Amino acid sequence: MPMAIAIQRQALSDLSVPQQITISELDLPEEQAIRLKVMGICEGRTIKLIQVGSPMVVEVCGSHVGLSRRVTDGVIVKPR
Amino acid sequence: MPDNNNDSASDADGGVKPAVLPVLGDKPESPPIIALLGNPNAGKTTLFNSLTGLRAKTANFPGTTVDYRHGAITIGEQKFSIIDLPGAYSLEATSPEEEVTRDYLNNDDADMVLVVVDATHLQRNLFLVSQLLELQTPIVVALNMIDAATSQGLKINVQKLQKELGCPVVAISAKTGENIPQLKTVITNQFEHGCETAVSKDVCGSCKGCQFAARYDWAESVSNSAVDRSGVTKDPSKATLAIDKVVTHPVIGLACFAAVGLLTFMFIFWFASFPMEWMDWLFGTAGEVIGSWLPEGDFQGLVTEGIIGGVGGMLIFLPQIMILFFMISLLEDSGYLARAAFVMDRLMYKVGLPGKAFVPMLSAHACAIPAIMATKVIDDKQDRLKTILILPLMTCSARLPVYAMVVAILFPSQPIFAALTFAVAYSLGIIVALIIAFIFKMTILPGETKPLVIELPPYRFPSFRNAFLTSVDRAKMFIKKAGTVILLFSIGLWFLATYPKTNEADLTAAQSQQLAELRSQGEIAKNEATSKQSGIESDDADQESGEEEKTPSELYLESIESENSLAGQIGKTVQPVFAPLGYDWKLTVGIINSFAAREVVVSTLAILYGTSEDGLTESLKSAKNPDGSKVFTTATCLSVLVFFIFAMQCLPTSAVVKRETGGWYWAIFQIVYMTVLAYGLAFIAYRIGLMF
Repeated sequence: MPMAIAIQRQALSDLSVPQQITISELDLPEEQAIRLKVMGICEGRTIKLIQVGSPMVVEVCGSHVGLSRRVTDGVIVKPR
Repeated sequence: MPDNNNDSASDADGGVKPAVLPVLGDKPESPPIIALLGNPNAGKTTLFNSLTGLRAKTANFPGTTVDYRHGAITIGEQKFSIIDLPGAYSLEATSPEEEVTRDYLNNDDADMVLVVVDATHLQRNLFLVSQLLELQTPIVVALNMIDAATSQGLKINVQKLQKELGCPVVAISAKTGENIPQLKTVITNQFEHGCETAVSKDVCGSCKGCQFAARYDWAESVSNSAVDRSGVTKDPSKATLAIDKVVTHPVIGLACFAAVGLLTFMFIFWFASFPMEWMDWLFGTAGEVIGSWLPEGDFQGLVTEGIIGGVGGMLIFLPQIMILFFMISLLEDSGYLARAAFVMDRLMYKVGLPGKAFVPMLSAHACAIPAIMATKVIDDKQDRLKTILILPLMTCSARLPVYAMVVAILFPSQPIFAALTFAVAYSLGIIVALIIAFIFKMTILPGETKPLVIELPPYRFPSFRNAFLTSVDRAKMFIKKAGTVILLFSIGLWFLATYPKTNEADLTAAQSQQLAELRSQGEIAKNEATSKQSGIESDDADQESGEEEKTPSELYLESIESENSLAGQIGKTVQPVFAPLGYDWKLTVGIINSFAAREVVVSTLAILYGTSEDGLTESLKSAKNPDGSKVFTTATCLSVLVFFIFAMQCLPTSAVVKRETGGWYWAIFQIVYMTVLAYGLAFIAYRIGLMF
């Protein structure tokens, strides 16, 4: 069911409360995915959501990274 | 690039580097090369400056528009060449700068990599180290900002880190100079006792799935084993977070940015005006003095007007370039620039520009040249090009004399309307630039801008030394790269404006008659002045200034000379093209002469109308067409104003565009599109003006 899929595939930009999350997948064009991975935002790693909205701020490897909505839409998080 | 060419790096076949210093290319005497590398914000530039100081030079990687700085350092007896590679988070190239860095390292051009690691963000920085450890080049790790780490309560076990990484690690503070001598010793020891390639760390070879995650997992474990966090009493990111709440807020953040931007802009604008005035005076005086040494004639004209005038016209931009880069460097160092890009991104994205384009766009209001040079902050090639193409549409300071001239004709005694005209001119520049950016996005430069992924570094007190060295560096680069082109063009334009010469014998009967009349009037006036003065004590100052001023007959002769020159002839021939905009041939010559520098139109018109620049407004107001109608009607004034808002009349800018885009193609495209735009909009303005 499409509804169920939508719930399963929760993107970073769907989150509205600062929290800790684990990334399950990067559904982005390769070049953009690499830019994220290089910053430590890659499958299996845990990051902290600091500021929600667009752009969003996440804490990864002890530093803060700003991400625009076009990117956070493609960062799929593991369901809690 | 350094002297060793790619042939010398032929051990790229996987061979291990010799234990002792390799012989470099065809120049065995050239010093070993140390490549300086590190994440952005790790303090790489500060370390480079601390090692090389003012001796550093800037060069360009061949075939690219990417610059790098290099300098020579001597440690003990040994000389080294040190190369500051562009900052990179990894060796995966996602920007032209990172591409250059990756290729440079893969080519084995460096004899040693000195990697700068931020001690306060060890885990993040170790990612790059993990990739470097797989290279065949020896590595020394400079664990920078150790003072900041200590004050945060972080205890880093350097020995342990060294063991984990398998290469020398020196804890330093590039800012305070702490342990820099030790770092130098370690570097020389490495060379003297033979460079050993660090123990190859197979961080990723066996891992399945994402190599990035594996590297970060490794970085995390190394960082956890070497860093003792038990002494951390307070979270340093708390203060950063508190400030960020304000400056990255969607609304307040924009207001903050507007305030910072405006202050920066005003500072550049105001502060640069003093050295610019001095330089203007200096070049004026130099022209006069050198002119007086040379015999009168063409050579004198070439030297004073063509060369000194041309060089002066270029160097006048230096104060703005230097102050802008000083300010950008401070803002970048402090960490604010990243926040500003963050808040601007959402707005700029809509017209197809990246958030980072705002700094250049703001700076372009002072001068497009430093603005174009500042587009280096934009990672993506296409985004950078788009920004460069629209930057000269912003109202720069060189347009102000032209606006002032037009406003003086339109609203001589209505300061409110005058101010409003200026405001409209500035706004038009910005609005049209955004529209053009959008059009480019839809047509020749399609595709979305690169989405924002930006590290928001902790706030730090910026380094004034770095800012100063950056601004000196940018100034040198501008002179070196734009200087030759500008000089050649200024000489060319001087030639057009000077030849063929007009002899008095060539004048028409009517012109000769008018000249004779002006001369006799001048004689009478002079005699009257002398007879008046003979009775009174002479006033030296008055007399001197009286001597400098050109007589009406001289001004008239100059106007005829200008009319007969090649530029004048071209103006007359081309005038029909500009007739739909309401321009007479004199204004057309003004437009042609201002091709290289827009402000020249004021002095050109003064010459053509046979008046001084002070009396120009009156002359222009009373200027008549052959049919007796006024030349400078409201419609013509509007048309001139609009033309100068949008036209690309600045040779130094074109020279810089050529440099930054790697060829003349885009520079010429820019001249063409802006001229067409200026012509079209000036035509519309003229037609609208005629309705009133």
